Formats: sequence, C-alpha cells, structure tokens
Amino acid sequence: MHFEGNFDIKAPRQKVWDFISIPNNLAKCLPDLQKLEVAAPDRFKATIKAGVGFVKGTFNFEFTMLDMQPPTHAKLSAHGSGTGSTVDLETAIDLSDLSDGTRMAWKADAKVGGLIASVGQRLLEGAAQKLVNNLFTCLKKQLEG
Amino acid sequence: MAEAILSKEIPVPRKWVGTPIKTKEAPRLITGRGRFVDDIKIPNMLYAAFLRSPYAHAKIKRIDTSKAEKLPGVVAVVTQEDVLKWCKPYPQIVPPPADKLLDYPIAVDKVRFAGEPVAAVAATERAIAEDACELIEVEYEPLPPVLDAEEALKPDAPLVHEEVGTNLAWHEVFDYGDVDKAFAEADKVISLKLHHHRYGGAPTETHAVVADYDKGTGVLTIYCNNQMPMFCMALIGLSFNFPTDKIRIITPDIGGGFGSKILSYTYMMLISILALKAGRPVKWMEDRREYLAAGTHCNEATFYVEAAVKKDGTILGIKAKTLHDVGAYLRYEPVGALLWIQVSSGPYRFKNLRMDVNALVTNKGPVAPIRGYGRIQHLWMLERTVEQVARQLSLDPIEVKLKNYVRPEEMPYVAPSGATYDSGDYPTALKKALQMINYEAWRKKQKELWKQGRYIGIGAALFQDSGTNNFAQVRLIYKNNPFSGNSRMAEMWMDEFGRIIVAVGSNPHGQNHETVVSQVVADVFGVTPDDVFVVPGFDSWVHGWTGHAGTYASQFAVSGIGAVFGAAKKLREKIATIAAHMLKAKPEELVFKDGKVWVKGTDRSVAFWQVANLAYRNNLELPEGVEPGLRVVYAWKGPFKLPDMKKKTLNATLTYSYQAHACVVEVDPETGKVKILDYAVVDDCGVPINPGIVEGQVHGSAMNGIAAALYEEYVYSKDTGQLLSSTFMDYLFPTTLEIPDIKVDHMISPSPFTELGTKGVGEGSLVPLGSIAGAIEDALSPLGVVITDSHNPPERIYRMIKAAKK
Repeated sequence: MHFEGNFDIKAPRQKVWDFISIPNNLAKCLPDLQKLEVAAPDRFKATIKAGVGFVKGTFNFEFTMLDMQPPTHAKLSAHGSGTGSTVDLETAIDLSDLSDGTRMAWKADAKVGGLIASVGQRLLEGAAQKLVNNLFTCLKKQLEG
Repeated sequence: MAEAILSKEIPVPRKWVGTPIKTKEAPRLITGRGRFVDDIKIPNMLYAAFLRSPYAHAKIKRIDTSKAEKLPGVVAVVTQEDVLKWCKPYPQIVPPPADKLLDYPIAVDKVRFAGEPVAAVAATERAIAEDACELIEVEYEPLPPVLDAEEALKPDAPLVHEEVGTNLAWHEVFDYGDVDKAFAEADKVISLKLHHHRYGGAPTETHAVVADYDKGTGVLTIYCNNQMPMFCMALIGLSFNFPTDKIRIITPDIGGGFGSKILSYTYMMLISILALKAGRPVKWMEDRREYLAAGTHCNEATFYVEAAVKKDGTILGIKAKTLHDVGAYLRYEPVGALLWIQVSSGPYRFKNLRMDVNALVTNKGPVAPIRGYGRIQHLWMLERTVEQVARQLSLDPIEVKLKNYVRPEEMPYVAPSGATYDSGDYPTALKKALQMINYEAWRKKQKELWKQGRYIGIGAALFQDSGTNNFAQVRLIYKNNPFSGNSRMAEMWMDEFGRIIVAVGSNPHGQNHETVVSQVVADVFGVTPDDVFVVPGFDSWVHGWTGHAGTYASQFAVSGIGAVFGAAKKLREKIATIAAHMLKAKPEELVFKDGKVWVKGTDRSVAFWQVANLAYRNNLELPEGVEPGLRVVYAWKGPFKLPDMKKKTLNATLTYSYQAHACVVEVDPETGKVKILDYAVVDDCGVPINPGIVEGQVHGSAMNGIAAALYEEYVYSKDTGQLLSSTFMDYLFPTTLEIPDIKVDHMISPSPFTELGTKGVGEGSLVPLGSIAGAIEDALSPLGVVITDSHNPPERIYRMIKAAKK
C-alpha cells in the first residue's frame, strides 16, 4: 500500500522538525499508544492498539529514524507485529518553507501481512488512510495549538 | 432371497449390485452420531495451535519461544530445531536438480508462503495454545516473493529454494504422432493463452490429528483424517526418525476430502513430534482460515496453445506449453503437471500432440491433488481450444465437438499418450444432455433475445473421469522412481457365528464404501447387505493395506471392489470346501442362499454358523488339509504395464467414466453476473454398484464445478503474496442458493477391463468449467468476447464486456 500527501502547518520549519524528530513528541500522535520505550534518540519501541474492523489487537512496533537531514528530510522505518500479523512501514518526510508556515510532504509504503492483511483486506486501505489522517491532524494540532 | 451361484463367473447384474439401497453410513452421519477425529478424547490430552508465517517469503533470523513456554498451561513448543532432530527432508520424485529441494513439516530457515507453520504449541487448552503462539517472537528478514509462474521462470526471479538453484522444478516435452506434419497440413492455426485458476476442495471437516505416544509399548497412534495415510507412509517412513513398525494409524469417519486431505502427512508428523516432546497425547483441529491459507489448492496453470485445424473443424494436432504454479513445496507435485497424460486428447480423436510441461515453485500455498487432479486443467484447456476453433472458423461449437469426438465403435481407443479409453459413446451423451435443456428451442430464442439486449448462451462439454491409475506414470517424471502399478487389499472373515465381516484398506470420506462393499459381498454369499458388516473407518493394524491404499483417484469401484470381490470369492471357496465335506457333496454342486449352503436341487443344507463352528471350534472334524478359521486376505493388482520410456507412453488408467453437461446461462451486461437458467448432466460410469450413490456423486461434482467456474478462487495479493480470499466471506463457497436444479440422466457402458464392469466416478466433476465458459462465450458472442480464464466472476465478465464494447 502506498500513501502520500501534503499538508501545511502554521508553524516555522525548525519547530516542526524539532517536534517530529523527537520520539517522545512524535509518540503523542501515535493512535491508541499503550507504552513507549525510547531506546536511543533515533530508535523507540511503541505498543499500539490497532486493527481493522473486528480484527483488533496489540502491536509491538519498533521505529527507527533514518537519513535525518535537519530540518528538511527524515525517514522513519517501522516494523510491527502482533495479532498474527505484521506491518512493515517506510515513510519519508520532506519539509519546505511557506510564507506562513511549513509544508510537509510525506510518502508512506506499508506492507501488511498475516491475519489483518488476509481477513481485513477489504477494509485495510480505508483503515490505514484513517490512521494516517488522524496522525497528521494530531501533528497539526500539536504544532499549531 | 438372493441366491448366489457357485461358479467362477458370477452373472451381472445381480440382486444387490446395481440397486440403489439406502446407505449404511447415512443414519449415523445425519443424526450427528458419526465419530470424527475431533470426537476423540484421550485422558491427559493437550491441544495444539500453530504459529504461521505472516510473510510469503522471508528468512527466519531468530525464534524466541521463552515467553510462550512460561505461559501457564503450555506444555511443549516445537520449532525447526525439534523438527530437524526428528525428521529428514521428505523425498522428492523429481529428477535433479529439484530433487535437492528441502521440505519439512515446518518452515526451516525460511518461510516460503504466508500461512506456513513456523512453530507449534501444545497446551492444556486450545485458547492457551493460541495465546502462546502470540508470545513467540520471530525475527524475519522479508524477501521479495515470486507469485506467478511466468515471473518464477525469469532468470532474475527470487528463488523459492536456493538449494535447487531454479524455480523450475520439472520440465519435460512429450511428443506424440507427427505434430509438425499436422501443422504443415493445417488450413488454419488457432492460438490461445489460457489461465486455469486456483480453487480447492472445501470439506466440512478441516484437517485434524490426534497423536498418542505410549511410553510403555513405544507405540505411536496417529488418529487423523488423511484420505490416504498408508500411501503417505512412504513419505512418513522415509523422513520421520521413528520406527515404522510402532506407528499405528487410525482414520475414523472423515468429513469430506476432495484430495485436499492428502497432504496432511506433514501435520501428522508435526503433532506426533509435539506429543513426543510433551509426553502427552495432543489434538489439533485446523480452523477454516488455516485450512484456506495453508495450501491444498488445485494446480494453477497457464497454457500457450496452438491448434492445427482443417476448414471443416477437424483438429489435426495440438501444441501446448503449460506452466504449472505448484506453490512453495512440491509435496505431491509435479504429478499434477503430468496427469493430463491420462486424458491426453480428451474425448477427441486427434492423434498429434506436443506437450511442453513446466512445473514452477512460487511463494504461494503448496497445491494438492484436488478432485480431477491434473486432468481438469488439461480437459478445460482442450475444451476452450475446440470452442475457439469453432468460433474462429465460424462453425457451431457443438458440431465441431461431435465431429472430433472418439466414435463409440473405436472403443477401446488408444489416445496419443497410450491412455486406453475403455468404453463409451461420447456423441450420444452430449446430444442427450442437449436435448435435456431443449437445445434447439433455446438456439431459436437466443437470436430474438439478443435483439432485446438479453445475453443468453448455451454451452455443452464432455469431460472424462479417468479412474484407477497406474502409478508407473511417475517414471515419466523421473525414471528412477521405485513405484508402479496399483493395488488394494481387503481382509474378510466369517466369525464363529457365521457373520461376515469385511475390512478394506480404504479411507472413505463420503463415498459410502461400507454400503457398496456390503452390496458386492451380499451377492457373492447370497445374503443381504445387512448381513455383511464392513468395519468402519480404517486402522492400519486391522484393515489390510498395500502401498497404494487410500481413497483417491476415482478407483474404489475398481481397485477396492476388486480386492473385496477377490477376498469374497476366496472365503466362499473355503466355506464351500468345508460345507461340501459336511454335506458329502462336491463344491460345484453347492449354492449359497439365505445364510446356508445348499446342495443344489435338494433340501440338504448346512447353516453358515455350522460351517463356522467346524472351522473355529470343532476342528477335529475339518477335512484333511484345511486350516482352521475362516479368514482370508486378498490383494488386487491392476493389469498395468510399465511405460515405454522412449516414446513416453503408457496406459495410465484402467477406466474412463465421462459426463456430458449442457447448460443455458444468461449474462447480465450491466453487472457481469451469470445466471444459470438450465443445467443437465448425462453420466456414464459403467456398471453402477449403487445408482443412488452415483447420483449423489454426480450432483456433488456438478456443484463443485459450478462453484469453481463462477465462485471459488484463491486470490493472492500481487505484491506481498497475502492470501486475500482467506475466509468464506471472500472464498465464495456456494450454498444451495447458488446452485441450480440439475437434471441428471445416465448411460451405462460397462468397462471391459474390470471384473464387474464398474468404473470410478468421483472426479469427472468439473465439467461445468467447460460448459459454463462455453455458455458465457456463446451468450456474449455478439460482442466477440473470448473466455480465457477458468474463473468468471461478475467483475471479470463486466470488464470483458466493457473492453469489447469500446
């Protein structure tokens, strides 16, 4: 599954970068976060409740920040497993200046395997889109609020 | 009451053979009194669950079971480490290099399809075992999957098995007649690319195993629902580090199989290893999602076909390159890629055939010998080709079929591969089926309806059901395969009270063997089927068996009944010897009737129990040289020959049942939905032992084929190899609502090659793949749509209509 999009934040680029490059900040926007464990500045583990339709369960994710080019570009790679399923996620974020804030261009590739992929496939794309939307709405709120 | 004549030749028909008596099995099964593997409860028994791979292709870097082992209730966890201790890789039947392919009951080092077992847990409750699976940590390194046979052939394709060095597991060219000459003489050459989809059997009962290791005696009892466990013993015995003489296999009632219950030997071993490790009995009952995901699908095949034809529709020859996608492991393959050899020219009489056969491994579930194994794909391909020949020559497909069918006077007919079609009248069967749907009337109406924008189509097809196979066909895959012929064993005894008991080496799962065996035996002994007890289920320590034992490949009516008939004659001979001594008569003067042996034309008789008493207890009065007891074993052996390795020909099966199907469909041009307006089947399976059971087989198999043509398909995601049709929400198993009323009629062409004239009847089932594809194409012929896929759900038809209208 591939997703991408842009959205604008009414906040300076450095502020956006500072927020998204720190796991504890980023974690504030992870949906249904149960537990966070920051192992290193660029690595953290998160336990998240997620699912599709009636197939819901707890996932253990490991996030790694890669290719950090402050305050312009970042990659976040995540691997999660649980509920007989796996999620492999690669995201890339590019920040650019706008006259009144920052534009965030993002891309995400997700590979989902196991129970959620096979049973929930009809709902998967919609559910993933919703998750992504919630994440960015939250980021916007956190940064603009 | 019945009278059996004591002569070598028992006349056909008899009193019970050919009679649609009610089955012995039905009362217990329909009142919920059947006993299945899941009904078995052993004290101290544990329950198993599997952790299955979420990836289609990945390296296993680490498995940590420590958390799972600590979960209260968990007794044993099995991973590749244990399996490598207990097992050698399964032997392969392919020539090098694919013979190096490593296959175990569990993923070792790599996972090769989504759903492959990675670990197994035994716990005091199933729920605990499932929870424990969640606690097992597996670190995978995902690899790119290969999900298509053509992709798998490419030199840069990911390798499913590095040890083999190629995904091409088997390649062979078979060349019969003079194909080049046929193409040189052709008026026209028709080319087609066809795809036969993946579907499967969906038995009510999924796979199940209970393994019970008795430390005291060292005996391992495996209760299972494998439909040919003693056949699979060849694989178990060669790979399982456990003494074969101490393995006892029991199959109780089995809830359907359709060939999918052949590959469960991997589970039989895995659950045994769990039981050995736990030191307690272990039960595993597969859930439906596991069943759908873990393979046992039918062979998926892509065909590149060329047909050399005359202007009048006469087929001169066919060339086909086939790519079989057999999934992640070979298991029973590449037999499915070869079995077209049993029906090489189908019902047609062309003599020139070149088959370029390729079997490829991919990161999908391993395929199994699903109903119509390897023949259905080929027969469907031939049927599509013949229909396209007709359409491209502007001829009527029905006429072209009739023109090319083997004629009844040519029977027994030797097909290009050496397959010898025993008997039948194909043209009459097809015409009869067409009459049953009022073909002429529909043809007239069709043109009118087209004008109204209604798309009505008529389709008809005839497929053979080749039964009782000659396993020497595997020599054509690899000349060194130490395997040939066919055999079946039956044990029969009269107890000391004169009751007749039969135990056959088969594993029925819906075929009603108890009933048909009792019918045959009743005729031999002049009793009723109720007087014959057929030991239900199978127990390797009770039922006689040979290396071909099991229930598969449309053969019980020939091989199983052959063994039973042979045993019955042997037992009757012994009874006659003793009775003749008691009656002071000659054996040939005796008749068996009403539980007694009579001197023909007199009132002198002895009851079975009197003979039995002499044999079992009063043996000082036995005639000289007669052994005490009344117990016999008989093994039937098929009259087969080894293949001609140079010509690559052999007579691959003994009997050829066939079914002609005719149907009328309406295609909704707005939605692509196909509605069946009429459906008729003409079946010819030789002499039916129980016509009622045959009727059931015919209905069940038509349903199976209609479902395959319109509903059932295993769909994998194209990028990640996840099975998307993984529940009955998406894998569209039909109900009676989806299946039309089916009109059935019969013809009887006795097989000249079997003792009772019987033939197999289990697998000619998928004729609807041919008839429905033809009918859809016929309905949409004003648009010029060509059906090239065996599966035609509304979406595919909708897209074809849309493309055609552009």
